[in-house]
Amino acid sequence: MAEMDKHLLTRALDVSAVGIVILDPDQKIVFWNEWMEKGSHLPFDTVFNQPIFELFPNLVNSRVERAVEGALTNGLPTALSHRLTPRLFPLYTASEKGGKNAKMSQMVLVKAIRDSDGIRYCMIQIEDITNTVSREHLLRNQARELEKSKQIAQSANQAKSDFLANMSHEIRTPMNAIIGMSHLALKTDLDARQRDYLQKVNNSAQSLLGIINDILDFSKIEAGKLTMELVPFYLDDVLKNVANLISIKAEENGLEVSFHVDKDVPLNLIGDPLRLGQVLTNLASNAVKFTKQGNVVLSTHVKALQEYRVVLVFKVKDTGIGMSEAQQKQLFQAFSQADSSTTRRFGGTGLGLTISKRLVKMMGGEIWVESAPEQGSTFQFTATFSRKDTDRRRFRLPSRDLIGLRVLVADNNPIVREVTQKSLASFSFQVTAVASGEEALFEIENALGNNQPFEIVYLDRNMEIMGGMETAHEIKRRFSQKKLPKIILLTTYSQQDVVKAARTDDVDVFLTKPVNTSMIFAASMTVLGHRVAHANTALREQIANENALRGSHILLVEDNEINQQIAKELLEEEGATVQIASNGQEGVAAIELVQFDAVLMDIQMPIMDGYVATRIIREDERFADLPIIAMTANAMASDREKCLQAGMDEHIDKPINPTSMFQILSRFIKPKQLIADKTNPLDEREQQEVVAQQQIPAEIERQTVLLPDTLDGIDMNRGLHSVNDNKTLYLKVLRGIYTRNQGIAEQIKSALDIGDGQTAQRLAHTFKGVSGTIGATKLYEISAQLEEAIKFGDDTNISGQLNLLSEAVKPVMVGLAQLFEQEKQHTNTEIEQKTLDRKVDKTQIDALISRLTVLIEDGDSDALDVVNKLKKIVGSSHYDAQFNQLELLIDDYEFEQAQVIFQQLVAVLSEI
Amino acid sequence: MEKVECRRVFKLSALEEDALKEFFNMGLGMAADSLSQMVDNEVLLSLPQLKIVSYEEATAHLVANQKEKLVAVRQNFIGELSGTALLIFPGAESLELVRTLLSDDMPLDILSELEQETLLDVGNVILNAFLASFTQMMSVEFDFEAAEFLKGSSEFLLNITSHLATQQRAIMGDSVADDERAVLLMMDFKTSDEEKKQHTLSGFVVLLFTRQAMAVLKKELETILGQW
Amino acid sequence: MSNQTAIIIDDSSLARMMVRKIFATSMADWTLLEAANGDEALALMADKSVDLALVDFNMPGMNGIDLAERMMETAPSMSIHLVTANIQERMRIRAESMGLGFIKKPINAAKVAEIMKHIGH
Repeated sequence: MAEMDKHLLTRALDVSAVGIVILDPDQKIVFWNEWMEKGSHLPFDTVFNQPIFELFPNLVNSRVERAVEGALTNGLPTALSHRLTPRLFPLYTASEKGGKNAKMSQMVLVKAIRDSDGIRYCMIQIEDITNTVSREHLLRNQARELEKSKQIAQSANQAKSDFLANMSHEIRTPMNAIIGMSHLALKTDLDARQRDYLQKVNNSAQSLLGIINDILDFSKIEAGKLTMELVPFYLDDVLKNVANLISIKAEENGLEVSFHVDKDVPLNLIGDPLRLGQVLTNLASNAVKFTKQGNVVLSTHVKALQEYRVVLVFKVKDTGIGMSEAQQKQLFQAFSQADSSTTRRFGGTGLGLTISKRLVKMMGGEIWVESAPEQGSTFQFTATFSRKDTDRRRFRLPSRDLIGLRVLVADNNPIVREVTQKSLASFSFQVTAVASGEEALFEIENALGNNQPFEIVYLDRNMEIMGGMETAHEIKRRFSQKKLPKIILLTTYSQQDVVKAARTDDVDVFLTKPVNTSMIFAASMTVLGHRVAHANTALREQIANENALRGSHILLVEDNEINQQIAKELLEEEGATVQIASNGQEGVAAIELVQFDAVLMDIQMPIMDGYVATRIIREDERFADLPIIAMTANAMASDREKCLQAGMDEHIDKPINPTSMFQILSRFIKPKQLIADKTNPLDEREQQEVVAQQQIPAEIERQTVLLPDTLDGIDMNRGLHSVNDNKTLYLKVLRGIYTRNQGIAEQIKSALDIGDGQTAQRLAHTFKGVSGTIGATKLYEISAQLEEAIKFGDDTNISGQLNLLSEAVKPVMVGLAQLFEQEKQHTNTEIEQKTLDRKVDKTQIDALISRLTVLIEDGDSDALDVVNKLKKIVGSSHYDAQFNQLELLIDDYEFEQAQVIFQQLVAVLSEI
Repeated sequence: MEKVECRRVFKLSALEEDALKEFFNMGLGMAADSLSQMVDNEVLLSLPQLKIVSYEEATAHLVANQKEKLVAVRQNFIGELSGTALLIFPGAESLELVRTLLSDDMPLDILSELEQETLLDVGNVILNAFLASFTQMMSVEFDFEAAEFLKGSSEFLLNITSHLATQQRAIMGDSVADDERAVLLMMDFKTSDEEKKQHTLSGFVVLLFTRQAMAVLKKELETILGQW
Repeated sequence: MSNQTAIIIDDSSLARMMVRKIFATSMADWTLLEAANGDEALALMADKSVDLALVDFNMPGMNGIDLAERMMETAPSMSIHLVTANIQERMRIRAESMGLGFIKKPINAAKVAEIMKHIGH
């Protein structure tokens, strides 16, 4: 490059848009451009040849100084950014904010340059970034404001959904009372008008509850709090539940609802059964709501099947009012139904589909609708599930011989007929379907003629002209000499009771509609005398439901008195006996004393909540299998999760829906003899007798309880209160203490002697619980202290408390000894056990006697069987004469005479 | 075949590679020291991984680690041993780094102008510390170009022709493919801030040399090792 | 005071070479042991009494601080110095709080001489 005019170069540097300073090897300023003069208010001649850090002493030991040194000694360049360099040159600039002499924000570059002799100089280049800084400052402020308002909006939203969740909880509690009480009231004697009123109260409460649930779900969706569970479930159970929920309404509308599940749909799935059920129920109940006549069909088929995953298509098709395209478009938006007039006409929040859409999305699927006005609607959605037990085939026929089995279906509803036929055909049965009773009879006759008789006949009860019952009767009558088919009668929900009352021999199995494939399978297998393993849950539930609870002993742990009353009476209606504990602690104490078939556990309770109580119960191996069912009013998926984690088996939402409570309970309470274990599982009579044996008529026993006015060391009022004034139970608990805990102090001591602190602590803990329950305040306090002392290994305190305990127990036991005078004579445990056994016998005898009283009064020849049972239980040949006479009389229908003999027998038996 | 050939030319002995690693290690230590003074927190150091790789291998390595555009600070050095030093941050981590340094309470979605300047500053500090310790061991003289902020694909960043005018000229006369060599040194920075575990930073330092420069480097290493 | 033993533990052979050279030049009466990592060092020292240890911090396997801790247990009287490229203040504080010497890399004769002054040679 040619030598350039020095003046020209200096001018160029002077007018640069950046500050330029050049330092010699001694850090003295040798160049300072005009930009620097302006910014620093220092003319070049005042700074020339000055060491820069003497000019700017505040920069000594700063990054700037180190950068300059680095450049001069090593030739290393440095870029000093505004934010990371606290100390920069004192330069000023004009800015909007700071006026004419605002402090300049700078970006500084420090570089080494060499002169023509190769000597290193240092060049400092300064850029004014004040505007950039204030611009970004503004930008950040804006972003901050935005974030702030977003947070405010979010927390407002949070507050809103917290409020809703809270309100929903608050609303549920009185709702429980309204629904439960009206349900109970409906079971009492009412005149038509009262019944109508109450029915309307109950219906309204139910639909109000539905609305509250919708709103809660919607608020959860809004707050992004809706969660999906991943639990193994059985698809048919979900469908059955949906059927239960919509069948009553469907029947009121005169609709047929049918379910069809394609043969290749896997039933063992992993996903969220509650949410799936919610979507299906929503779609199905919409379908029912908007269909005046015709059918609602809910069908399921496979869209994609992999080894561990399946995509299912669910389809809900109705023959209802349908929708225009415009209406369909706004269908899935919140707060809108097809049009606002339908909202008024059909009720509902209009949130259902919005919620469904979201739930479907969370199940990895999508939802859509096909419809036209007056052409009905078809809602479909897909959902993805994981598969469990991928290799298990569904309806596996127990025997190859059953392939091609001939089955006849008679139903006047073409869709139900088709669905039933498809289901049966999917088991590889050979199915003939007809539309009427007459045709059915014709087909049966024909088949017999061709020597290809039907093995099973499905009859719809509601066929025109000749209904199912008549057809069944006619079949038995006409073909009595021939090989008779097994007959399965399809009834509707409301006909259940009528049909059961009729109790005809003509029908082998009653099935309540809507039926699904696995129910049809189970029913078919049952009438053919085959046991069905899992597939018959639904059917078994249906059959066992009413009876499963009969005779069962249930512990209800619940603090709210109204809830106690409702649950207790509902369960007692079903034949269960119920004991109440008002909090977790009482519950824990109660199960130590009495054997229960199941525990219903409230969650929020004073003293000890349901989670803690359950954990304590589960710690004890003896209660590992005791069914514990949570009752919560929170209805959050997370609560359910928490319940399961605490060791509970299931979860019931409050307000209690009686049907689902019974269903859930019956799933856990095993009837002592399972229907499926018998060759003819549906023999109801036998069933009831089993039940009668188990039943402990609480009322009868309660009347006979005699309690003393006072008991030494026991606050009886408090004790009775803790068992809800159930004197029988109180007596039972007292007896329990008396028989088991005479030597409680010694028991604890000997456990401690062998170093088993755990057992010692448990004994103290249990004793604390029971003494609290009976109102033995002093014993309670001592054992509480003792338990603490054992827990902390406080040996001196332990021995002190043990002495106190053994002293304090004595007077209480003396008092109890007087109360249980008879037992006092037999102190050794063997005899006690016998006494207990006899006690059980006594209650069984009482139960049978009361049942027999009714049967004989009614002139029912079923009495004969009960007499037999009674005879067996009494077990003594001493009464044989009376029993034989009674049997003869009943057999001859001489009920009046039988009554007399029976009374005599009862009088004798009561002396046992 | 040609590639195998040229690889042999640049094959460093185990001892030479070890020495280079130790220089880098010391450079890394100095860089971490500077950085720790700036963040007022200890910067954890990992064992440096040294790899001498071809352009293709280096790009493949970077691409496998990061798909989006990379952010880098470049510093060219010129002299007997010319080359390019790059400090490469995977995109998201550069944002994270600069925001840790600035403790920005309200980060913007993009790397703002000031943040770019900050990053340049940091990159410069790290590379300076690194290069200082590296060049101190050498007998040759260096001059340094100012640090620059770059943004681009790994293909662009690792291509030596993208960087140095003098090198570019040298390459033009030579067979380009053979000379596109990169000494790739990976190093990880980790802040040890106990409370802000999320602020884990990492980056690569890459040195790009031409074949000629590599030969000089090898000779330098031989000289240094001869002293001991 | 002759026949003292020192050990250098560093995964870098260059670093070991530098120490070897320094000892050969100015401390010929010392025996110098070398190890490339902590395990090697512990094995080497198992049957020897060592007076001075120079320990790198950043090594594969056990780091220098952990190694120093182990060595302090077995040979409490040994003088241990962390020799590291990690020259951060906090590293120095950590080393010194454990009673270790702290030497910034690269090591040189002057730095070794300084140590010797401290341990009385």
